[in-house]
Amino acid sequence: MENIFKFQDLILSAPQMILISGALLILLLQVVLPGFRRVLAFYIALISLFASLYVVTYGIPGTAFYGLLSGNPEGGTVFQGNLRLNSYIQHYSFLILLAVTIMLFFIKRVFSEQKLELAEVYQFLLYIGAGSIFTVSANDLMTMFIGLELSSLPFFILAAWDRGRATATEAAVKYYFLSTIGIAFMLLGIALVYGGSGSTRLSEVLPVVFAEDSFSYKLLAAGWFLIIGGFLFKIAVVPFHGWVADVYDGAPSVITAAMASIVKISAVGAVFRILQFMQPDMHMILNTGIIVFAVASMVYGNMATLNQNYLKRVFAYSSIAHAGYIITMFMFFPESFKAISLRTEASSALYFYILAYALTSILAFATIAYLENGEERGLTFDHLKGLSKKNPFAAFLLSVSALSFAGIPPLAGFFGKLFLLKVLISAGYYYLAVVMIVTSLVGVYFYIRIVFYAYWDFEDENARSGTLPPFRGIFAWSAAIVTAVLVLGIGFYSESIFNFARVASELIQ
Amino acid sequence: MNIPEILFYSFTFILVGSAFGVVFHRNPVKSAMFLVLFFVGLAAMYALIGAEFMATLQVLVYVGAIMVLFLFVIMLISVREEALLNMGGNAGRTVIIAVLVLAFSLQFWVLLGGFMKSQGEHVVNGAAPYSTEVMNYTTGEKLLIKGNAEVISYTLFEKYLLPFELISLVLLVAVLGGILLTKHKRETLQ
Repeated sequence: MENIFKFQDLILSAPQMILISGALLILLLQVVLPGFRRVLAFYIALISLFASLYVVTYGIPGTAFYGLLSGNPEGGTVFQGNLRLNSYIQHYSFLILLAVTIMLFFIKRVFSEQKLELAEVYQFLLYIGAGSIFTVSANDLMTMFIGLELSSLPFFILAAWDRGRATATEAAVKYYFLSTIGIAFMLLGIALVYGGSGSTRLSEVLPVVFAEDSFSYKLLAAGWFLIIGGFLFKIAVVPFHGWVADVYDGAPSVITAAMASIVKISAVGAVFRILQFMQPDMHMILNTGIIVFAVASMVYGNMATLNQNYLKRVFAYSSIAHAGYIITMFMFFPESFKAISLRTEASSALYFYILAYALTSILAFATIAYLENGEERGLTFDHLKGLSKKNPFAAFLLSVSALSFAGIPPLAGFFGKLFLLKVLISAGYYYLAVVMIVTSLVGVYFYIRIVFYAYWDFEDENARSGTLPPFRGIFAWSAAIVTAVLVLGIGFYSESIFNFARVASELIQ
Repeated sequence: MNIPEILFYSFTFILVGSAFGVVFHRNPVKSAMFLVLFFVGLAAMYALIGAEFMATLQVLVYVGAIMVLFLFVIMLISVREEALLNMGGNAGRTVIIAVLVLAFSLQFWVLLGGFMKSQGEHVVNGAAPYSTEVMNYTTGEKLLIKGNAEVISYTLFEKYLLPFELISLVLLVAVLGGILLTKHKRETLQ
């Protein structure tokens, strides 16, 4: 019987299983071990993340689980077809694990400084990593939904982690309720897709052939649009953006960094994968919506930033603009684009962009997290004045992230935008490319403002950079340096990363 | 109209009515009672499409266990009658309501289109359709097997084994979060 559970399934889904075992081990040791210390939880989490990264990179010899470097020519399904195994998924799993590992260091430092560190934080981080990989690799809509829940539920809790602060609680409640509504719509969509096609397995949905105006076809269309809508909520595109500013601002800044990077990586990876299981003619309708949403996000995200005074809000609104850039890559699924291989171009451009965006977000929000000294509200531009003298390293990190967001060469963000523009122009979407360039130019204003305030020699009585805590701690430095080097460096390897991701996306299924 | 169809529409009426009762009643205990009525109505719906096992579980789990818990909580925190909130007070709420209405009308439109079109044709590939044909399954034999505990257990422990196990992790996270966020004395937090 092909349906029976086999032990091999556990091996073939090793990255997730390692993370889950690590999390459960932490939970168990807390109860069993008398002298349990939080640092032990940190090291268990670290080891499981590194083991998982190793497995994703090099694969497991002797099994069908090929690593990132050896490629996965055939791919396959695991757990009775619930999970999919291929090179595209390995790429996104690697990205998720990288982001979670970097966040682990940042969270360790910031939470122990703010006396918020509990062993459960590391456990939740592992669940987030596992859930995100399940979301990306799901071959079944139910598995995808539960993976999404597993990765977002810890975020609701972590957003409220700083219980003493009213804004954190507010952020958590808002995020929880709005996410639940978004997820509920997605679940309704899954039900409709099941009703229309008779299966929740992605690979069984597509081959079903319909009469154009049949009832099932309408059910399927409505279902797919609701599912995509749920994902667009997670990516925070304009009609679904209402929660972003308050949640990003209110949650603890390290958690915001994790939210802005990990959630988007998994949502983007999953949505790009499931889009190819939509019936081709539905994509024509979807593309119209995507163009409207993308333009609205670009314009709104960049315009709303202009009059913000809080740094976290600046980056929160700019994340809406970046979401607008990201979703333009979801338009290449109609049949006409398949012939000229624009879809694979779009896939690898998207991969590079999300890599650059995630690293830059982590750098920006984590630096803010270090600089906060427990005040009620976050950093303002007054805090930045004269920062380069008081705290040169933090000023450098903030400037790198701001310039990368702005798209200044040779930083990572520039090459991300370059690839997106290249794909858009070669597909003939000239007006979208123009909107993207113009709105980016507007955005440059406030990104440059951050650099200007940090480095300009202010003699201002409003300058409050002296009140900020110094940047210290081995975890803080190592994680910050690694992230900054990546943001500075991947631009130089952009061509090879792009080609590397293209090899994967040719096999996407 | 045959008898299952009449039953379907009367239960629909009860379901929608009790759902409104849950939301709009001022007394929380009465709201909870409307919720009980809703769950029973839903169980009847399951029975109508031949899923008698689901109907039993619905009554046992929701009415028997979950609603008792609801009433306990209401009793413990002694909620008083609440005034209705001022709806549409700010823009965000309006947007949410608009989206809800839009999604509902979209669904309604799709279903209505189905009712109009598929009176005779039935092209759903193996899934239980939402059309009027659903009612015929109580008299016909085609989908009767779908309601059996046997089929459900095969589906749950073979085809959907992984999501089924993952749900336990989701619940574990929820339990941990509930404890951590409500516990009064944590080791380090304020």
